[in-house]
Amino acid sequence: MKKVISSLLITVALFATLKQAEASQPQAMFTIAIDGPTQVAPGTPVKIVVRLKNTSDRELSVDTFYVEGLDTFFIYDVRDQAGKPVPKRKRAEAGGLRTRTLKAGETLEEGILISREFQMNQPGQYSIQLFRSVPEDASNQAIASNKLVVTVTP
Amino acid sequence: MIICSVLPLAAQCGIYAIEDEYWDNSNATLTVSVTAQCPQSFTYAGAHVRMPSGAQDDETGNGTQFAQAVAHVSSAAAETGYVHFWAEEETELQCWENSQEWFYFDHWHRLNDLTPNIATTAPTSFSAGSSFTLHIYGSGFGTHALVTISDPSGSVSYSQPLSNSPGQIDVPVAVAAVAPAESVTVTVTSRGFDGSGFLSNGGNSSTSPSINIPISPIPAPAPRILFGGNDVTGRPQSVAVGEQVAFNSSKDLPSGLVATSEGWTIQGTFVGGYVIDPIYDSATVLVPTVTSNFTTIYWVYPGQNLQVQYSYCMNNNQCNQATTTFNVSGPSGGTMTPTPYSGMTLKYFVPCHGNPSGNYMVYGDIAVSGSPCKVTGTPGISFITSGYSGDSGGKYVFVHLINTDNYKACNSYPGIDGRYPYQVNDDVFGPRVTDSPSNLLLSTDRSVTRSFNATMYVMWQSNALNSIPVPLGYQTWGFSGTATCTSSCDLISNWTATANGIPGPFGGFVQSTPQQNFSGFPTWSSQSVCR
Repeated sequence: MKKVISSLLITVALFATLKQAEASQPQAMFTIAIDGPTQVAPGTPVKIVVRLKNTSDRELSVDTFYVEGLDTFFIYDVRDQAGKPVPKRKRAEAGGLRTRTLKAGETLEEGILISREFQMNQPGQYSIQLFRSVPEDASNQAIASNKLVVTVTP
Repeated sequence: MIICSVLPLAAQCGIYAIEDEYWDNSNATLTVSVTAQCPQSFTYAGAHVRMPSGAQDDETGNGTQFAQAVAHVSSAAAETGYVHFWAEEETELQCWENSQEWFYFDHWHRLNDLTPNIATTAPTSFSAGSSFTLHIYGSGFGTHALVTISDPSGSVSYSQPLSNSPGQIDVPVAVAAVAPAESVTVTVTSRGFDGSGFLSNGGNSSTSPSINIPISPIPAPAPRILFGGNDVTGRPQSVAVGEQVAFNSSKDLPSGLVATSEGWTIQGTFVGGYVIDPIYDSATVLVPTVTSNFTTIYWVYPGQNLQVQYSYCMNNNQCNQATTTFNVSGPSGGTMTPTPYSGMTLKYFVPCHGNPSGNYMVYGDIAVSGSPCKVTGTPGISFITSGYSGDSGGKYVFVHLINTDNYKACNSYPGIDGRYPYQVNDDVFGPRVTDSPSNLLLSTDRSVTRSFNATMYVMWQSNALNSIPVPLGYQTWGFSGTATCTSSCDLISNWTATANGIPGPFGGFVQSTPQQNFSGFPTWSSQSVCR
């Protein structure tokens, strides 16, 4: 129970940090851009492409814990058209740890099966935004991606 | 001015012999020789043949005592004709002519239905796409013959004779451009001299033996192989494996002719594409379409002097081809070396971002160790490529396929591990790719066993535009580990983990070969997830 409360507190604190980051974007070490379909039929897997570009002059750690196609080292903010967080599915209990470093100026491109984690099968509009920080950034600044709006057609 | 007196010679000149009746059935001519006796010499002499069937001819003799006459006979009936001999002498003082003698004779020669015969033609061969007059030489044609010209393809058209003598027929002929190499059959059917047969009752038309005249077809022009818009026919080219090679052909077909079949013959191992579906997570190898005048291929393996040949045939069955060669470069001679960790470990993953904390059984000595998220430690297995030559101008692409992954209630489908590619080794990442499968241990669990088997493929992709990765080889690997706990299982310290057997690579690195399924390409139809 203690761990759950601890996780919640961290998450709340992180989102506060994210909001702050959105408000004033200091010089970031990297950028995140997401792209994907803007309209899908119900039941169609929603997969987005994430491009994380190292805009600093040093290598960045972009490790990951992959769980069934989801890079869990990103924070995913997926909301319905009412602005409510979309319910998550139960995440698989196994994945693979991978260590990676991203050289200065290079871009990491990943495909992420977002609908594996979030229940996006109901018709409507969903907004998707990703956040991430890297260990090399002492400010622990979470960088936000652009928002992608996906419409699940009736 | 010549003044002469005409003297009757009836009493002086007398025909006393009709001889050498010569009958030429093929030309229906009757030649009659007449011998006459005249008291004086004469300069000109001749004879008339008169036949009831009407044909006649005159022939001038040149002697003093005989003349010869030729007549065409158009009746088969026995008939009586007559010969009229005449002679004349012309001097300054006298002229005389006409024997005034008429000698009748019976003509018993019968006309047969002549069988025409073609001796030769001019020209002796036809050229496709030409129009000309065909001269047919021979005998027995009569003067109202019918000509038949036929060819298997029906490419020759003609009309009936422009002119027709017993020994020559001239026919207008046109040969279509599409005429193939074939023989034209020509026959002549005689219909006598008046169109109704040689016989008085018409008789039967008779047809000559056929002769065959070859057609010289229009040859197929030499095509050209275009690569990148350039004519590369006969000029060796260089590309990399996986590079998109789009060929098309070019040719200038003669008017009226079209290509009816065409295709490519390409040496080496190649595919028509390698398609990754990013939505449904599938990878398929396309078979190239090489039957049209355009084809796109990707060579999979390096090779020298790989011949590319384009061939086509036109609708006159004439064919031609173009050839060029390609030198295909790419990595060779290398390997991918796995470095496995020796066993299973138990780790507590600290929370990071939205990733919850927890106890994990890990293959390797590695864990999520901080926030922002960071992974530190020794991975379960790492792969590194080495020893390849010819790998400049491209990058290594890793594809990880999970064959089996069983733990607790999860019995995974085989498929791609996460996404394609698993990782790309280029300037972005280092030369090493790792994996450390980890599974959550819940406080309610008491014994968790995980059996994992996967295959890491290494591929190489040229930097050329629109290239695809090509397989270099693969390494199968796996592990089986069990974590147990008897009580207070929320504490990682109460868990123990052991490896069942030796984790790591199974067998050695397998080089990709053309003989493998899909020419060595990894394929999958879904992501590997729990059933």
